[in-house]
This record gives sequence, C-alpha cells and structure tokens, in this order.
Amino acid sequence: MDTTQLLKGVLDLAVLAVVGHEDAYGYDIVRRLRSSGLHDVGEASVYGTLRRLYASGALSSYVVPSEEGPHRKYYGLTPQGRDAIVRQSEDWNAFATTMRTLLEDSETKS
Amino acid sequence: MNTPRYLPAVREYAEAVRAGLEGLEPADIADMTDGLEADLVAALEDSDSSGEDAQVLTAATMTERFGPPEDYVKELLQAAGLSEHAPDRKSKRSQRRGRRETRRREGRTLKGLVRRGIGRVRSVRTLPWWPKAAAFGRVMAPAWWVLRAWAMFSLISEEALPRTAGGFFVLAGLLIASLLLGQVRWGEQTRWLRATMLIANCALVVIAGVAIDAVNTRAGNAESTAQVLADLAAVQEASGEEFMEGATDASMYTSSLCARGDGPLCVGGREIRNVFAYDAAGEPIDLVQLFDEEGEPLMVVNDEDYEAGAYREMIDQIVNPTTLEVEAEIYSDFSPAKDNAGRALWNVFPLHTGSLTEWMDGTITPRSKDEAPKPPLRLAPEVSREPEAEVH
Repeated sequence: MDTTQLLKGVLDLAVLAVVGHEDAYGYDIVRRLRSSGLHDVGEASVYGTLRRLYASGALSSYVVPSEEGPHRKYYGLTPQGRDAIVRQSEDWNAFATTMRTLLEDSETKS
Repeated sequence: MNTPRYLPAVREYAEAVRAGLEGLEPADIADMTDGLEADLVAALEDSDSSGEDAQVLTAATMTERFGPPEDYVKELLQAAGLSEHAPDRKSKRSQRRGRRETRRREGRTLKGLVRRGIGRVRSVRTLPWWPKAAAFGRVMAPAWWVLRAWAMFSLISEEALPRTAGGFFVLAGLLIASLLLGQVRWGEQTRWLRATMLIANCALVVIAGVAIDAVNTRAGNAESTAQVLADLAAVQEASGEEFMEGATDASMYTSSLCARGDGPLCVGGREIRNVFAYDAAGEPIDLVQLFDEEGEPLMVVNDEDYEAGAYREMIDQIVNPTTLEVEAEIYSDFSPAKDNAGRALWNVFPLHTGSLTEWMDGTITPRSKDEAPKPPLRLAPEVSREPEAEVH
C-alpha cells in the first residue's frame, strides 16, 4: 500500500511530535521521521510542512550559524503548537481506534 | 566532515529552488528556504556513506539525489499549502510576466515595497559570509546594549555623562532596561513588536552617531578653549610686560557688548571682565583704584548692565533628585568695593565675585559676596624703570 497518501493526513502531527520532543533543524526532522519508520517522507514535504506550521503559529524558528558550513534553521514548539499536538493526538487516537475496530471486525468475519 | 566542499553545487541547487518560488511573497520564500543549504548538506552527508567522491559533486548529482529543482519546488509548495498561489510555470514568458505583475502590484503599495525590501534584506542570510557576521554580531551585542543606553541618555539629558545623582540613576535605569530588552527572544514576539524594535534600534544607531559627534564637538570646544587659555598663559609668562597686549590675542572672546560699541571696557573687541594689578615685585595687589586720563573712574562693569544681570554667569543648578526638575540656578556675580560712605565703587580692582542663587519661584538667596578671584598669574615678573638718560 502506498503510504504517501496516508502520510499526507498526519504529517503535521508527526512533525509537531518530532519537534515537541526536541528543537530540530529541517533535515534533522526528516531523519528522525525516517528512523521512526516513515521511510517514504519527502524532504521538501517536510520543509513545506514546517513553513506552514510556522506561518500558523504552531512553531517558532531561529537560525544557528555553523562554523563549517551554511547556517541551520531550527524549529521549536510554541504553546499553540503544544495545544495542536494534544488536539490532533486525540483525533488521531479516535481515528486509529475506529480503524482498528473496523479491521478486527472484518478479520473475525472472514 | 568537510562540508564547505559541497557548497557551490548546493548553493546552485538552493538558488534554483528559490528561483522556482519567485512570484511568491519574499517573506514566504525566505520562510521556506532559510537554512535550505544546511539541510541539503546534512542530507548529502547521510547519503555520503556510499563512498562516492563528494569533491566532484555537480548539479547533475544534486538532481539525482534530490530530483529536479522544479519537482522539489512543487513538493515544497504543496506541503506548505501554497500550491494554489504558485506562479504559472508553464512558460518562461508567463513566469516573467507573473513576476512583473507581482512587482507592479506590490510596487504600487507601500506594503508591497516594504515586503520586497524585507525579502531582499533577508536574502543576505543566504550569503556565505553571513554566519560569521551573525556570530560576530552576537558577540558584540552586549556592547550595543550599553551603547544604546548611553545614546538614550545623551538624547534625554543632552550630556555625555551624568553630572548629578539624578542623571546617574537615569543612566543606570536605561542600562538595566537595555540589557533586559537584550534578553528578550525577539524571534518569538509578534511581527509588530519585532518591527518596532528594529526601527527603534535603527533610530538609536543614528542617535548614537549624533551623540558621539556632539560629545566630540563639545570636547573639541573645551579643548580649544583650554588651548587658547594655555597659549595665553604661556605668552604672558614669557613676556610679562606685554600682559595686556598678550591678552588681546584671544579675539574669540569678542563680546556683543563690545560689538555694540558702548561696552564699559573693551580691548580689541574683547570685553574685559576684571582687572588684576601686580606691584613692582610681581605680587598681586588687592584694592587698586583706577581712573582714566580725564579722572573718570575706569570701570569694566556698567551700572545699567549690572542691574540687568548682564554680568551674571550660570555656574551650577540645583536639581530635585526625585523629579529631576531644576529648582534653582546658581550664578556667579561681581560685587563692588565700597567707599567709607558705603557707596559702591566699580573702579576698585580686582572686582570680587560671589555666587547668588536664583530660585524658580523668583526668590534670590545671596550666598557669598566677597570672594577674591584667583589672579590669572600667581606672580608677574619683577619690574623696574631705568632712570631715563637725560637728553642734552
């Protein structure tokens, strides 16, 4: 099954969760999403998502210069972002429970 | 790890992505592509384990690894929820038209101009020297916090350094306020607060410049005055007999009373404010009465101007330490000698000076009235008059 379609709906929450764990720069977030199992996540998709979450006020950002290369832009959660995690986690859990119940039902019937 | 080797190809790719976003608000472009180079470099490092020679990293390898910049842009825009605002990418011509259109539309409004300006300024952050400059800025920030506190102080008090306890507390308060402002994480504040702070800081840079200039000028004036007086003293010391003539060299003391032509005693346009006499042994003499060739008392103080306060010089102020309002002004003033009948005599030298305090409610407190001024020279040369050779 193509997971990219599934990912679209929950990428916001996944990104918020990663940043909520610890402030991180763009590719660092990609790396952590991939190592958590979301192997198909596209880099540009994550950066675009970061931009949208930043514009909506869920994330704050700051630039950290690096001595050996270009500067890195770090993202952190704002209180608004923290609220969003709580809200979206509830939605996700309700949705996942519904899906699990549906699938278990179909398994027992077959 | 040696990241800079990646930079040319990485920068090229990042620029291609930025070019693909052109037509969007510059602030949006900056939001999406700030730090893009660092992210690309980090991604390359992760895929570097294959052992390929990163030295030969080219645009082709960048495309191979990240896909064509156009696709990258499309994905970025989609995820950012901006795809519906994306510029028409069908043809270069329509792209250019779109760009022109945006410029024309934005150029018409102040907001658009400001946005484009901000975007252009922000793009500085993508330049290779920016990280070092930014790091230096961070190191120097405390110095700026002190400087802007001082600039504010000099703006309020019109002085370089506090001269009163009140002034000192004002400066201390400004310093604390400036340091506290420096601790605020501006990145997390609202756009308006950030803009206000930026404008205030820019204004303070100008004020600091003006203040430094003003202090320099004042110091320069004080220096040149001190220099003139020192030169004068040197001239007088070197040629004591030319005392009065030497003194006239200070033409910068041209007085309005002298310019008017009816000043009481002027030499070379300079108003004489006091006269000091020395005896033959060179010692200063107190109480010398002077008359001109017609037997008129020779005076430097004119009764009328004295009454009008023209000779008063403000030497200090009394400031209320809590309200910082000036409560009184202290003036130095001349006091005449008196004859046996108690009449004021203005031709007795040197004129003594005293200070009087004028309160803001109009009352005047005479504080002292008979201080002998310090003679300009402690000792004058010893003099004698050779008996003139008789002419036969």
